[in-house]
Amino acid sequence: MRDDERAQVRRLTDGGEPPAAGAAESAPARIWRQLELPPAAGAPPGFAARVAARAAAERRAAFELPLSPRWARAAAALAVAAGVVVGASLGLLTAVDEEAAAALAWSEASLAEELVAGLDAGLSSLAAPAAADEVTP
Amino acid sequence: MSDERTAPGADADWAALARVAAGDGDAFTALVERHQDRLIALCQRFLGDRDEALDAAQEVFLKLYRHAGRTRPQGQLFTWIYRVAVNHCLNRLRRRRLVRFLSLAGGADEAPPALEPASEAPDAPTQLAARERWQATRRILDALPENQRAVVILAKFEGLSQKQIAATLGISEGAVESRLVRAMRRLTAAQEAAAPRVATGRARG
Repeated sequence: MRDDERAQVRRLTDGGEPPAAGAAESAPARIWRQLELPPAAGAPPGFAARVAARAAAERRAAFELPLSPRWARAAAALAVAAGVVVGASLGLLTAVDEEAAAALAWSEASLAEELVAGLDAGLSSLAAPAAADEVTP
Repeated sequence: MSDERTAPGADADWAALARVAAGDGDAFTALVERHQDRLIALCQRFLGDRDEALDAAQEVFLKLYRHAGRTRPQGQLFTWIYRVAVNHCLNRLRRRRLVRFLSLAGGADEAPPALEPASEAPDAPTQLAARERWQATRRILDALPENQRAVVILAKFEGLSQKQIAATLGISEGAVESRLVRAMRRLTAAQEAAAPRVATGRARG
């Protein structure tokens, strides 16, 4: 960055020393002067009120719960109670299921026992004539 | 924007912000009313589009509202607002470029948003010539890298000193000067390239 460029920029931005009288306008100074944008119009009517309304709506949404302790506490208590009820119900359902499973297991065991007993009886009756044949000369 | 030491409204702004943090909606409305014109103008200069500038200004004010209880009084409140606004506008411009890139709808040569005069120009040729100059300036600004564009807009159109720009952007005065010098080099080159277009516009005017 050259010193003359720095001085030029300082002159343009901070109103530094003006160029000597009668001196030709430098290229950066001309460019700087020619930069032009349309004049910005002010805020439309009601802009501030609209922004404030949106801010207030955000605030209500964000702070309504902590700012209303009575119903917030009530809601929390309800949630705890609901949790207890749901938990207890699940526990009961589980207990019922266990009983049903135990009953089923018992009946399955009984069936198995009956089947084994039946098979034993069948085998015995089949084995008896064979034994008789052996005995019979 | 004046310096911190000479800012008569600085304390009043911080006091108003403290009231906003305490839930005073009227104080917030008054703050918006006090700064809305400058903020909308700043956003419009960055974005080149009035509707988008209004939207951006609203977002910046809402950020101020959300941070009212966490912003420490330091210097002028409007410096803080400027900083948030500049970052917000640069983010919007980045998004806009990304959308253009993804949609393949345009590129560096795409025409900038239409620049409408804020007030009635005296006659049509003058208005046309003014628009040509504004379009040329917009093209030149759009061609600058973000950090250089920010310092040029703040210096040229907001009239901030290098010290104020440094405070606004959170950089050193040396960095501001360096960016301005680099911007001027680019502007010189870009202006030479755009000169025939501007000259044509003037000839028609």
